[in-house]
Amino acid sequence: MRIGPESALSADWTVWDLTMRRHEGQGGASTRTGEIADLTGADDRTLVQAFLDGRRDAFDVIVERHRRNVYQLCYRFVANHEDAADLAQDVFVRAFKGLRNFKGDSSLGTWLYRVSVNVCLNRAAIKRPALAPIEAAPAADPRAIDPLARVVQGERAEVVRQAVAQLPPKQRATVMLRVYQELSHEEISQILGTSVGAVKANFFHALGNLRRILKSS
Amino acid sequence: MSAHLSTQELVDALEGTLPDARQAHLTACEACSREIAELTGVARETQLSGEVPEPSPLFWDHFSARVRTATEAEAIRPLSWWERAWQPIVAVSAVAATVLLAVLVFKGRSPETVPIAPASTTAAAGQTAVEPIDDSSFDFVVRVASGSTKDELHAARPSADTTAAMLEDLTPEQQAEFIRLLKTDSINNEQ
Repeated sequence: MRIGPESALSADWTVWDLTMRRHEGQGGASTRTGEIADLTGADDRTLVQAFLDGRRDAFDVIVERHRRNVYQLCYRFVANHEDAADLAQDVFVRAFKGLRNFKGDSSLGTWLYRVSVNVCLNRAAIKRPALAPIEAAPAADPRAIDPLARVVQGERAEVVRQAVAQLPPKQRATVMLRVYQELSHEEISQILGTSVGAVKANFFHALGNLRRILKSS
Repeated sequence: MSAHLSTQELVDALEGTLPDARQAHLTACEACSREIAELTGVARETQLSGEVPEPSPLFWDHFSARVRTATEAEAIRPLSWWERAWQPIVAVSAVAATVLLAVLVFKGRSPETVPIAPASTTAAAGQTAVEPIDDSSFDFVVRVASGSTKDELHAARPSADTTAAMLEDLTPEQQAEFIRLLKTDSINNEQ
């Protein structure tokens, strides 16, 4: 199991992009595309500051940078594309409204994960994930060497996903962030607002519960 | 045999971060080894089940457009001058309060180091005896107490620009009142 995230989560917070330029006051001369081009290489902290200075295009870059991670986490909660896309959109709308409250204690990626988990758990409390029935697991790839093994693997994966969906909310979130998103226990503790020890305990109990559920299925 | 692995140690063992001292127990204990083997199997199976189908390449642009549309009606409220000024003021105030508390605690713990002036002397002078503070140790206490680096503390100070902006935003009446308060404060200090 790989420990430690890559890409957006490891954004370098020590670099302050001094090349950031303001476009206010340039009338219609600066196009939206031109503004995005200026901020594309900026680090997350610069983007947040630019956004708080009133630059809407900074948020476009934030969305572009973090949308895949947010979408994937949402997908794992709801197990279908349409709901995952809706939830991910909701996450970014909430982030847009709440970015003023982002203190920079953690990375922007971690903060967005926190918003995502809250949005997904709130949704989960209302609506159970629409998991595919086991018989409807993805069909075997005809080019696969062993189609039968692939069918069995697909069915088993669906059983495991259903088992994960049965976990209590915090255990479920912990498994998703640790096993699927491969975040460290420290990052998960920031996202869930608990101690590292509590995260490890949650993870242990989650695996124990999964073992029990999978044995009985 | 030493005690079985705790919950946290089992997770550490699962992830290969168990200290060597406890690793010896794991090697010798059949129950803990079996537990780790089973949990590893569950974790691996869970990891394999987590594949997320990659959406169409067009989806991402479409998604960004959806977010843009959904947020278009929302106004960005830039931080006002007082919010920008207030944050460093709060930070500096918190540091000052922490330092004051730390100094009081230090004084309370080692009373023999604090010379107590005779009451009559202090009263006669009309002043309270103030211990000189060593600059380097004072800075150290500030940094330790606040958990901030020197650079962070420096950055937390309101800049001259911030102060100027604050004053410029005041109405003439507010500016006059501000000057009156400063004068009053100055007179009180001189007395």
